[in-house]
Amino acid sequence: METPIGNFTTEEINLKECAFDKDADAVIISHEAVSNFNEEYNLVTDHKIKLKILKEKGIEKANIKIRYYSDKDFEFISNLKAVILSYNDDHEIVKSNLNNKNIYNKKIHKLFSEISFTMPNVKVGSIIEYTYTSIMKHYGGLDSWYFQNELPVMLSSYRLYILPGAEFAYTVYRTSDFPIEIKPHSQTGSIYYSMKNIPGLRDEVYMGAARDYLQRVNFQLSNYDNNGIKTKYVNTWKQLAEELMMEKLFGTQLNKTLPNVAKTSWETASSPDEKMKLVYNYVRSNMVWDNIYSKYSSSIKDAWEKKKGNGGDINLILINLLNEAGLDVSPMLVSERDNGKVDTTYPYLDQFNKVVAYVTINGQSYILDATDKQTPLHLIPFSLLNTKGFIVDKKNSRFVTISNSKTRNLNVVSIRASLDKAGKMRGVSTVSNYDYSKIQKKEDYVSSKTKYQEDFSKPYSALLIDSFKVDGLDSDTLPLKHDFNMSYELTKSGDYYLLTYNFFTGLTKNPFISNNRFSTIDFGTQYTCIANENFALPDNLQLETLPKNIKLVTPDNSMVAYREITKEENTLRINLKIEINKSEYSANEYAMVKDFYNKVFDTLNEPILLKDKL
Amino acid sequence: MKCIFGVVFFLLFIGNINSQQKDLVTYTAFTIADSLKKDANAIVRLDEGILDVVSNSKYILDVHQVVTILNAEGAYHLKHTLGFDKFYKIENVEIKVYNELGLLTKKYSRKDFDVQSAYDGVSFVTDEKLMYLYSPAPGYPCTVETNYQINATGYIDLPDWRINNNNSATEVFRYTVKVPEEIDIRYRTINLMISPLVTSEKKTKIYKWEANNISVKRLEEGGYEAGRYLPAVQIGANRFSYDGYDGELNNWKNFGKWSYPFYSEKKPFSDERMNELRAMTEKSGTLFEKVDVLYSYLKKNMRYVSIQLGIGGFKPFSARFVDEKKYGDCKALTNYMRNLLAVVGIPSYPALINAGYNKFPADSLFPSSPFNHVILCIPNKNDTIWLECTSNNARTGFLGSFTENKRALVITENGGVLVNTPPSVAANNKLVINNDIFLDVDGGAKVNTSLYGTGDFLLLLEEQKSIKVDEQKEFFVKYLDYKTPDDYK
Repeated sequence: METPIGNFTTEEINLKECAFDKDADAVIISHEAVSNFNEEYNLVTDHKIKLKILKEKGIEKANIKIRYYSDKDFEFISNLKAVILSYNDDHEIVKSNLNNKNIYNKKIHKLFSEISFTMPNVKVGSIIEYTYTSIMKHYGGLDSWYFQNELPVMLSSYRLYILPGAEFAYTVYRTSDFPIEIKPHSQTGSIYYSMKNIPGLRDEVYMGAARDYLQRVNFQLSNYDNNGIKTKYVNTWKQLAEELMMEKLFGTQLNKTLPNVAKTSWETASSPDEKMKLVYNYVRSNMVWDNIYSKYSSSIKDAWEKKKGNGGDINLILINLLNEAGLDVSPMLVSERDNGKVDTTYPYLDQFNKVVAYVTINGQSYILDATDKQTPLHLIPFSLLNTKGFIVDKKNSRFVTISNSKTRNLNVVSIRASLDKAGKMRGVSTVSNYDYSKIQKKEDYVSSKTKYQEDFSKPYSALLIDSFKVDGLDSDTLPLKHDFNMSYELTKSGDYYLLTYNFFTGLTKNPFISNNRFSTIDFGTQYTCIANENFALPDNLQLETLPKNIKLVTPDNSMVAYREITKEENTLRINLKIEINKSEYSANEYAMVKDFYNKVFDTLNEPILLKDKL
Repeated sequence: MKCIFGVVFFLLFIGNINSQQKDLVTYTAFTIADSLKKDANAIVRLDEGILDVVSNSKYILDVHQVVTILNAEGAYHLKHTLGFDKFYKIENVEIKVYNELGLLTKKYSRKDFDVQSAYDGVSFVTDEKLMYLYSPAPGYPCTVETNYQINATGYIDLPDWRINNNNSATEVFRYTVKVPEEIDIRYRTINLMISPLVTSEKKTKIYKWEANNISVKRLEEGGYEAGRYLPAVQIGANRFSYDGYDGELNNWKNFGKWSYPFYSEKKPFSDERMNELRAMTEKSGTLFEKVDVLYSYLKKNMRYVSIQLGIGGFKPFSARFVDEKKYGDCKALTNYMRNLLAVVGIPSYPALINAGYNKFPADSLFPSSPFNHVILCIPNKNDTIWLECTSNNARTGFLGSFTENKRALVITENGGVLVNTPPSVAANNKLVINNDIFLDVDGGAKVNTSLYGTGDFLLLLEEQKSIKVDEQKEFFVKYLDYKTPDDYK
């Protein structure tokens, strides 16, 4: 399909800002695509994109990269053409074409390659239009269509020609504010989708997968091989589980016997729990993950021999060995928070990015991922919290909601210090990080002890620490405990000293800054931070006024913070506690969360004023 | 059965030790002197390079390294990354892993490596590729042995041999250089007081450096780049050939002579275009004013895109290309600016520089090619003007911490001249924050903040002005430690 490019309307040329997203550096005027099949039943998709540079910062959007799946020549890109409308020194319109010499094609990864090009003469006000064709071996490469982008989109449309006789279903994900147009066209066997004026979705803190919040349509099609021969269409989760258990790359791998396995170590284990732990640690310490996500394994034997594999290889090995050790284990398909939410309405495998082991012992369930080296057995991997997992079992396949309300991100700080007459503080401190708070810290500590210690005191510029000691590394249940001495010179202003007390809480900078929010705030876990601090004051330093005790509670009672400051004889006691008792907040609750955080940071950073009476 | 197996195994093991003794290589972790272990995550048992300079365009470097990793913090020695391109090939690569006892547990070859294009964090396109491999440890301590050969078919610099003793100590460090007498090399050591043993064999000169038991010396933050402090043997080529271009590196002048032709272009602009350019500066009086007009034109119309291909490390895209396409990398934009100035009769010269705030200035006494950037030098009596041609917002003549107080190789028609770029003084790098505080009755306050900056801070603030409002607020909270602003203009 050839469409002329380089025709720009007066409205497009006069467009100065994006009306529905005024902060945008650039805007996609239109992205239109059509997917059709050829005689070889390849999936052929023609893209046509028009974008306008609105601000200086947007000029870099003229550096365009098209990534494609080049492993086994599955996909290739052709017919790339581009035109830019820009201005010469006399502000007259000039159009230039992309020269083929300035198109670069590079393999960038085992699986992916990238076509890149940049346009000449890019200025604020330039409009770029480009077209290209992607050809994939078969309809198995059909991806969701995303109407929304990081940049605002004025028109996004997609026409999909369905293979004759194919069973086909689609699901639209959209916010009710944005209407969608859907037009099936039965004569040609195609269906057309379009949306208009969708603001850009930018990265937000504590956001799960951006694609969960993007306006999009997902497709479910029966499988095709190269020749367009239809394979059986799976229409229930139960059927899918049954088929997966027969699948060469999945279920049958679980029946293989792995060679050279040091089974004796767990055969004599005293309890099933002990057995699970031994198998889990055995696989974790023997296998190296190549950082490729997968839920399949072409051969767990090969991977086992190489002691290296993708996520599917490693966890299918784990499941295989747990099963052989006589434990009640099933493969569970999961989608990490960053990969996006699972839609349980359609049996659609692409939603999952991992397989993990789901073990049940005496009614207690465990989720084990052997590519994760740090998470202890009793915790669910952090990346899976607040997601759904699908247990693949011939008889009892089912969904489980993966969440954790028992263990949280728990941090306890204690400081015992005294001040001398010149305002220098010296003392001892213990900082304990429990459970989810421990995992990341432990990983950082193991990778570099020196850097870890430096980073520990870095946020507090005037603070010195020494005799730094870390305990609890090898225990699954004990916290990561840091014991150390600290010293600190109080800031002096005239006769006054400022005593600050927000140390080691991890709460140094407010993460919620933007005015608006589109995505759910997903902390993954609930959170608690407790600090108990004592400061012995010298005779000459006296408290001007005792700061107020403060208690902050959100209207829904889920976030609580308090600060209590008391003085007994010469000792100042400070108790701080911050508790977040929900792990997810919807975008509608953003104002409440932001307001709470603002107040918490104000409270934590309010210094205590001491007057020098000498 | 078990018994026989044991005997065979024993014999093999003995054989292994014998061959090890021959090479003076030990793989067990037990023989390391305690004095070397202080502060060390790993002990380099052997770090040997044998460089065979075949001609002015070819060399072969054999690398043999044996590293005992003491603990998980030394695990970075398990990651093997080698870069290569069309003039620089990696061959015969072999990685072996040994356990604590010194027994071989795993062997890797080229086919186990993953290959991908190099991404240097800046470039849009580069020629370079990376091959990488992670070889897991069988436990700690363990020993990793690396063997490979570099086959260079074009070079400017010859490889230095450096001891990285920031986190690891070295038992045996050895570098051998064989070179035809008529080419010969220049050499020196830095942070290392050893002299080479020099011998001759037919028409080949052989240099050999060796050092033993070098303990850990940690690098401190805030200093120059690591290369300034690590012990090293530095080798300099006298003559070289890269991508078919022959040159001499025995002094800075000759290296400049080699680079100059890359910046020569017969007729970059049409007569009509030249008239346009002349018209732009018609009203400007002084040289500085003219430079200012054309530099503003460059900043407004051209953009920086890094494209490093072929001899791209040295040869810029033509001025004509930049004039048409309105983009280029540092070389292309510098070359373009130079040609703009030439049209209005102002001579200027490209200047190679090793840019980066903590880069150590190029050494006047030891010519080499440490440069990663090009700027423009415009002679102006006693007040040379320097232009950073990749910037869209720098003031005319402003260099900033990236390129100030370094040594730049100015490339002239008579060859290279190494000169100092001017340092800036503290007074010219000011960030002034003005807070007007209005106290409330209840002890709260309203703060109006305004900022202005000079030098590097001015660039930082201008950068902030071009980003989204929410990101600007983030700058206040994260960089300047403000609380989240309520109101922002």
